Amino acid sequence: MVILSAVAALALAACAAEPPVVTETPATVARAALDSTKAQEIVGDTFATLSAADASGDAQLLTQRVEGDAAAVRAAQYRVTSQVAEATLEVLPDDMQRIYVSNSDTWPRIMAAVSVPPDESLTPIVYLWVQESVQDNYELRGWAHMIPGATLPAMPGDVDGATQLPLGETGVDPSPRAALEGYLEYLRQGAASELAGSYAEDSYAAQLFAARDSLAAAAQNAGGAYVDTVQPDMENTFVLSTSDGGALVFAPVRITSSFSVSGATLKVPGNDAALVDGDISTKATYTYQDLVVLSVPAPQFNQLPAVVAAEHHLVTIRPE
Amino acid sequence: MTLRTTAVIAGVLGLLMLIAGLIANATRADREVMTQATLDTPVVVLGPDVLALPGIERIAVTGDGPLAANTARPVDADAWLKNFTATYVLGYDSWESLDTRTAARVVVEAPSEDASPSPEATDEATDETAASASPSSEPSSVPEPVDYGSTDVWRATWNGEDRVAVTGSRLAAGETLVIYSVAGDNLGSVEFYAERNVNDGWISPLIWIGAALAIVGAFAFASGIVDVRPLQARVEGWRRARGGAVAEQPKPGSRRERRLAGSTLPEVSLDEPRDEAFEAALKAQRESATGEQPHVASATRGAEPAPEARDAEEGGQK
Repeated sequence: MVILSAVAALALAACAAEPPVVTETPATVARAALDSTKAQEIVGDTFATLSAADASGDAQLLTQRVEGDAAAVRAAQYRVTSQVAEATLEVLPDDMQRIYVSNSDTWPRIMAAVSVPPDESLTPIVYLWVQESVQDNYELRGWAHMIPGATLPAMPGDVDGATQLPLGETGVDPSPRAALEGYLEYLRQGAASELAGSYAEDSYAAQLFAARDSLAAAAQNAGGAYVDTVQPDMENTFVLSTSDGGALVFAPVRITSSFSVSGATLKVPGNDAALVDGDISTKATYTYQDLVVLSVPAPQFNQLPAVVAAEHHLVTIRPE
Repeated sequence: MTLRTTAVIAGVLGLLMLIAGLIANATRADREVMTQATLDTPVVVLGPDVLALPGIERIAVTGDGPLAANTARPVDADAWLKNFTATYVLGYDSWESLDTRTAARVVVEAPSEDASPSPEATDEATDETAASASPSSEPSSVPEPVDYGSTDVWRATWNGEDRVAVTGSRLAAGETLVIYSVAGDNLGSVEFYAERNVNDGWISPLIWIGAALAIVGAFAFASGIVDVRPLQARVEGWRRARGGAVAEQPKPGSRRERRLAGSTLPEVSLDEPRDEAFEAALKAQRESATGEQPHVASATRGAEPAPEARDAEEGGQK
């Protein structure tokens, strides 16, 4: 029996393999913060929210997925369409050509997307989403039509994701911060600025300068003045690396245009009247929440920074 | 050592092999094994290193109400988990239990007049669950709803009622699995269903070989204690009667010959022991009377004749 027990014990010992032990941590295959399925889900949720709010023209419904400048711009558009019969809402396509995701390990994080063209006469729209913290949703913060003729640089796919660069990133020249500040200074100074040669031509700046010249002349004729103030929002400016080592800067820009006349009453025409808060007499300040998407090419290409998408969104008109 | 003895020894060894094989077969470990650990937190976490353990086919978590299982990049899961008390599964403790630890959420106490203005944070491993999320000192009978925040951090999600199970093959390598009770109640248990390697390929051969050897040994042993010759004779007689064939003559000196000749019990001499002097005198008397060469003759009555002589006798009888 002793022999039998020993044989059985040995047999059982040979049968029972030890449980596996933890050895090493496998690397994550997909480095991007969002996979394509989740990114599409976020896009779908966003446009479901927009659709619901658009249907009722109620900006209060722009929660969860539409916040910040995007909510302010859309709310202004609701005001116009609710007060001007012939006004129509800006069409925001929910069909995306490309979605660019971040691979950041920290917050805030961003996601960008390029839509199909809304119609044959319009260029595609670039959207920007921001996630402030791990507890927050990705929220649509802004959008802008692409500049006619502009091309977005190639971006990393949704497996690797794009690296979120700091504004002071030195891998590109100029740095994103320097490129943005220079461009905004160019907008302040106008077409005659020396900085004009530092950036590729774009229709956004050209239209801004044309409107400025026209309004400045009109104000001058009325004994008043026209002043543009261009302010960046660096805290909400984000940079993604491009595939070729460049940078794509998403910059909210606040522009206030003050128009004054002397000895006359200022009248706000057309759709803009719906955005007037109060009674205007001789001076009005127009506030715009713009989104400028600036491409800073990699140094080896010797190309000028260029605005690839930008849009001038009027949100309020305040009398002063 | 005769063949029979060898067979008997082999039979004994075969019997031992058979018994050992049957014991091993009855007590061997199952290939499919379920290992579990009880939980007392609303959240359980399985890191990518644990999910990479070989053999895990399914992971299930039980609890009350709706449960959600989500995967995320480890860095994202770590950031999310800072806000919740969670049980971390560290791996197998044995095939019966899992190794776990509990990490409390980072708790920032509400400032008070008496308290120190510096917040107190606890993120060390502890066996105790975290303090209440509410800074209120009064107990509340109605639990506060748990706000787990955005789900954008999750890559894949599975939902279940009272139980949620995730197939191991559907988990992407390098991701963390976070499972929580949607209502914020403590979970019941986490279960690993795995297929393990069991070294049991030798059990069946051991049983079959042992059984065969035991049978051989049993026959050999039985043949030594049971006289089967009458049975053999009956079988041969039956064969002769049935086939009508002339049976072959037994080989001289064979067991069959002896069997056919009758009992092999030795014959015992009933004569008195011989007197040496008498034998010598008798021999001398015969020599003087016949003048023949002396020859050896058996003085023992009924002694076994030499084989040649016996054949001659049998031939004469036939």
